[in-house]
Amino acid sequence: MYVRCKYINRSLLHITPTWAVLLCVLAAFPVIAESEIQKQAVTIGVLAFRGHDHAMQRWQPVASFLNNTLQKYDFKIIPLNLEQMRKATSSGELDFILTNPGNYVLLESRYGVSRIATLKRHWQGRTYSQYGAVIFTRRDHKSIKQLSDLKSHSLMVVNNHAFGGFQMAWRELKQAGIDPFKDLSQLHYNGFPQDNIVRSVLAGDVDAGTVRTGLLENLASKGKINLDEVQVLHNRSDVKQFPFIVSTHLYPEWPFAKLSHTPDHMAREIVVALFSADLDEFQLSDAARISWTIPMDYSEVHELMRELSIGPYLPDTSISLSHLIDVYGKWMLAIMLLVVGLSLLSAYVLRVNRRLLEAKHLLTGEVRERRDAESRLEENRQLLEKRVAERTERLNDVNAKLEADITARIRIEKTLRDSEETLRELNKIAAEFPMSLEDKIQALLEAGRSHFGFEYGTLYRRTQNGVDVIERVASGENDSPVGVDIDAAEFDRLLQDEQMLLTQQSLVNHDSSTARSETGNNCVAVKVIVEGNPFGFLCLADSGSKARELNKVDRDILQLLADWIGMEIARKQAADREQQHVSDLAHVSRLGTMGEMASGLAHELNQPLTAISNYIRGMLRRMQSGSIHETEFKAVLQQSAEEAERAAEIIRRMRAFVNKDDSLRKQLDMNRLVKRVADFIAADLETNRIEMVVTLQKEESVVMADHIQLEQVLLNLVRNAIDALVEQQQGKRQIIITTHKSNNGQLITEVRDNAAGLLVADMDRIYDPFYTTKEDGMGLGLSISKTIIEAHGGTMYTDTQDGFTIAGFTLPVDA
Amino acid sequence: MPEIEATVFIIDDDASVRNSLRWLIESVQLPVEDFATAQAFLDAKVGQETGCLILDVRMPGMSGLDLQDLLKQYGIHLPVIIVTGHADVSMAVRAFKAGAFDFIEKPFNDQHLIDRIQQAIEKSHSELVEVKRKQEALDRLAALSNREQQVLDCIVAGCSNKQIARELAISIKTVETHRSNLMSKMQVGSVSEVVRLALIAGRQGATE
Repeated sequence: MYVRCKYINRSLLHITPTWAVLLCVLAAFPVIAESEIQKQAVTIGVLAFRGHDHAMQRWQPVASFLNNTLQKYDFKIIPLNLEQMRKATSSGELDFILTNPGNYVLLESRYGVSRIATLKRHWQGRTYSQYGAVIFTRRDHKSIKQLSDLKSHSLMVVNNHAFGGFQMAWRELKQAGIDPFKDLSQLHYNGFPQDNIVRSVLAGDVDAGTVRTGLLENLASKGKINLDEVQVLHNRSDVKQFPFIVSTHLYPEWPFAKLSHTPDHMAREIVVALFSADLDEFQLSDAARISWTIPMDYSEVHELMRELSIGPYLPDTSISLSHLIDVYGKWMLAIMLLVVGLSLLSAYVLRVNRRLLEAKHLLTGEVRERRDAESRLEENRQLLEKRVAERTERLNDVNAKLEADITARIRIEKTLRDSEETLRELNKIAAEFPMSLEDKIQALLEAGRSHFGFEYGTLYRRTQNGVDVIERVASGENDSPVGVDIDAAEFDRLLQDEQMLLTQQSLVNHDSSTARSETGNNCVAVKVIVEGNPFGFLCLADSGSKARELNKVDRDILQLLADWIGMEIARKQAADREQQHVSDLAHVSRLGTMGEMASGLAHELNQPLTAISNYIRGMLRRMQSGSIHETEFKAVLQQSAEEAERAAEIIRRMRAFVNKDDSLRKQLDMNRLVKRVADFIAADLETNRIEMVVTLQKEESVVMADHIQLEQVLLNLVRNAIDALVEQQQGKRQIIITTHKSNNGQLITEVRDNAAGLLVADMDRIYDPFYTTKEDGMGLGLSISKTIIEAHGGTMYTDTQDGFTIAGFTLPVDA
Repeated sequence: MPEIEATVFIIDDDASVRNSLRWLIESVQLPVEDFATAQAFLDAKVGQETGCLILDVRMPGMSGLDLQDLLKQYGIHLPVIIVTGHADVSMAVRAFKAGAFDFIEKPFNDQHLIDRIQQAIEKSHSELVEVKRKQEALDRLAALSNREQQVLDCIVAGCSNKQIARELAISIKTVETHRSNLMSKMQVGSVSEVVRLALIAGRQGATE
C-alpha cells in the first residue's frame, strides 16, 4: 500500500515537480532530524475506553518496550476517546493508533490508517488473537433460554459505540430478529468496567448483559463469580480453537495501525520490534499478557458494520452532493479553477519539463532508496519464510515422533493381545483340574511354545547321570527336535548362575563345541526352581537362526511358566512324600495291629491255660495226699476240659479274625510284594549291617491273596532272620529272599539267613503259639503266619541247608 | 511249719481262674475266700487276720494296683501277691513300690505260687503276732498313773532309785513304792521284763 501510494505521488510529481521536491525534502527530514536531534517523538493514540489514566497505565509497557528497543524514537501513549481519536486521526496529529476493531475499520475507511500488527492475548497458556462477546443471563432466569427470548427484557451493554461491549451482540441480536433499540424493555448503558455488567446480571438488576469474551472466565478464575450461575445465550463455544465461551462471531483483536502519513520504514521497525519481542515484554498493567502478531483480516468487522449500517457504512444521506459541496465546495471550485488554470498553464508546463527532468534525477535517487527498502522488506519476508519453514520442520519432527509412538503402541497392543491369549490358555490349564503332572507340564510348555512361536518346548532336568528331557512339546512332527545340548558340567554351571533367563547368546557361547549350537539354533531358556533349588531349564527353541527379542511382558510370561512348572513339580514331590508317609504309616499301624492282637491273644489264652494248669496241679496234689473224692475229681476234670475248649475257641476266633475278610484278597504279584517289603526293611538292614539278596521269579508271580496279610507274613520272616543275624557276632550277615515256581503249580517264597539258625529240637515247636527262642519275643509271629498262609491255601515250612536257615511258604499260583 | 490260722483271699474277675486257684490252694489245706471284684473284698470288711491277698492286675472296676493303694489307706496289712497275664516292667516296679509281696506272671508254676503264699502267710503271721504283743504291752502301760509312767521311763533309761528320786524331786521311799506298784500293775516279776514290755510298747525311756 505504501509503495502504491508513493507511485501515485510520483505521478503527481510529474505534474507538480515543485511539490515533489518539497516531498522529497520532507521525506529526507527524519533522517536529518535523527542525525541532529537524539530522539524523534512518535505518538501512539490509544482508545481510552476506561479513561485517561487507565489507558496510560495499560499501554505504557508497550511504549516502554518500544523506547527500549528503538532508541532513536521517543514513543508516547496518547489516551483518546472515540471522538478525540477520530479528530486526531483526521488531523494527522498521531503516528500510530491502537484501537478496537470497530473504531479501526471506521478510521481505515475514512482516513486510510492501515494495520501493521494485531494484538494477541495470552490466557492460561493459550493464545488467541480473536475475540467476541458473550450474551448471558442468570442460569435460573426462567423466561430467557435463547437469544430471541430477550425480546421485552432488559439488556445491559457498555455503550452504543462499544465494539465488544455492544456492537458484537447487536449483530447477533439483529440476526435473531431483535432490534436492541426497539424490542428490548430497556437498554442499560453501563460504560466501563464491564465487571459491573456481570455483577448486575447476576444480581438480577437486569435480565441480560453482554461482555467481551474472556471476562467471565477471568472473573471465575479469580473466584468472583461462579460460572454455573451464568447462562450463555446463543452459545457458540463450538468455535474451534477458541478458549472462551462466546455468543457471537469472532473478530480480530485490536490492531496496531499506522496513519497514512507515518513513514513506512518506521512502521517496519516497529513491526519487527513488536514481533520479535518476548512475551514478558508486554505484561500489561492489569496482568493481561499480550503479544503481537501479523495483522489479521478485519473483513468480519466490516461485515458487522455493514450489517448494522454503522461506522463506514452509516447510511448518512447528508453525505450527498450538497454535503460534499458544503464541505469540499471551496476545494472543488479551486480544482475547477485549477483545471482551467492548468490548461492555461500547459504551455508553461512544457516549459518547466526541462526542470522536471532535473527533478527526475532526484527522484531516481529516491527510487533507489525505495528499492533498498523493498529489498529489506524482501529480507524480512524471507526471514519469515525461514521461520515458517523451521516451524514446519519442527512440526514434522513432532509428527514423526508421534508416528513412532503410534507404531510402538500398536506393537505393545499386539503383544498384550498375544499375552492375553496365552494367559487365557494358562488360566484354562489352571482351571482344568485334576491333571497329571505330566499333562500339566505338557500344557504349560505348549502354551509357552505357541506364545513365543517356537517349534519346540523342552523341560530339562539335571540328573545324576547327565541331563534328562522331562517333557517335550513340538509344533509339528519333526523327528529331530531342537533344543539346547549342554554337557552336565556346563548345565550345573548355568544352574548355579544368578541369572534366571538365559538367551541364545549365553547358551550358545558356552557350548560352541556341539554341532547343534554351531548351526545357530534359536532358543531361549529360563531356569526352573523347585522349592528354592535349581531343578533344570525350560527351553524354547527352533531351527531358525534369528534371535527373538523378548519384551518385558514376554519375560514375565516366560518366568511365570518356569515358576509354575517349578511349583507343580514341588507340589507333586510333596504329594509323593505324603503318599510315601501314608504308606509307611500303614505299615507301622499294621505292625501295631499285629502286636496288639498278639498281646490280647496272650492274655486271653493265659486265662484258660492258667485255669487248666491250676486244676490239674491241685488234683495232683490231692492225689498225692490221698484226700480226693471221686465227685470232686469228676467236677475238676469237667472244669479242665471246659477250659481247654475255651482255649481252643480262642484259637478258632483268632483264625476267623485272620480269615475274616476274603474280599480283601486280590490278584497280586508276589515279586512286587517282595520288593516292597525289601524296601521297607532296608533301613533295618543297613543299621544292622546285613546284606540282602533278592532273587525273583522272572515272569509275574500272581497269587490271590490279601496283600496286607502276606506282607505281614513276609515281614515277620525277614524280621525273624534279622533278629537271628543280630545275635550272631561274627561273619557276614546275609539274607536271601527268593521266589520261584514249583512243579506242582505252587509259588514258593523263601527267606534264608546265615545265622546260627534253629536247633533241630526247636523245629517241631516253632509254630506253637507262645513258643519263642527270643528273649523278648511273643512267640506268636510264626504261629499267626502259619495260620495266614494256611488260610490262603498254602503251607509254611522251615529247613536248614548249607548253613542257612530257611523259612518259606507256598501259595497256589492264580492262573 | 507250725500250724497257723490263715486265710488266702483271691480277687480275680475271671471265674475259671478264681475257681481253679481256690482248687489249687485248697489242695494245701489253706482256707480260701474269693471275690470277683476289689469292691466286693472291701465290702466284706476283713479285719486283722493272718493270710495273704492274690490279685489280678487287670480287672474291671478297680485294678489290683488301685486296690493295693486302697488297702494301705484302710490299714490292712495283708501281703499282696499280684498275678497277671501281661506283666510289664513298669507295672511290676509300681507294684513292688506299693509294697507288693510278689509279682507272678501267668501261666505260673503251681509250686512257686504255693511257696510264695506260704511265705506271705508266715510274714503276715509274724507281723500280726508283733502287733498283738505291742498292743498288749500298751494295754498294760495304760493302767499306770502319770507318776508311775514317769518312774517307768526313768527305769528304762537305766536310772537308780536315788537318781529317780532326785529327778522327780521325791523321796527314795516313794520311788520304791511306785516301782512296786507299777510292777504289780504290769503283771511282771522282774525289772528286765518291765524294760522289755516298755520297749515293745515303744517307750524310749526318759531323756536326761
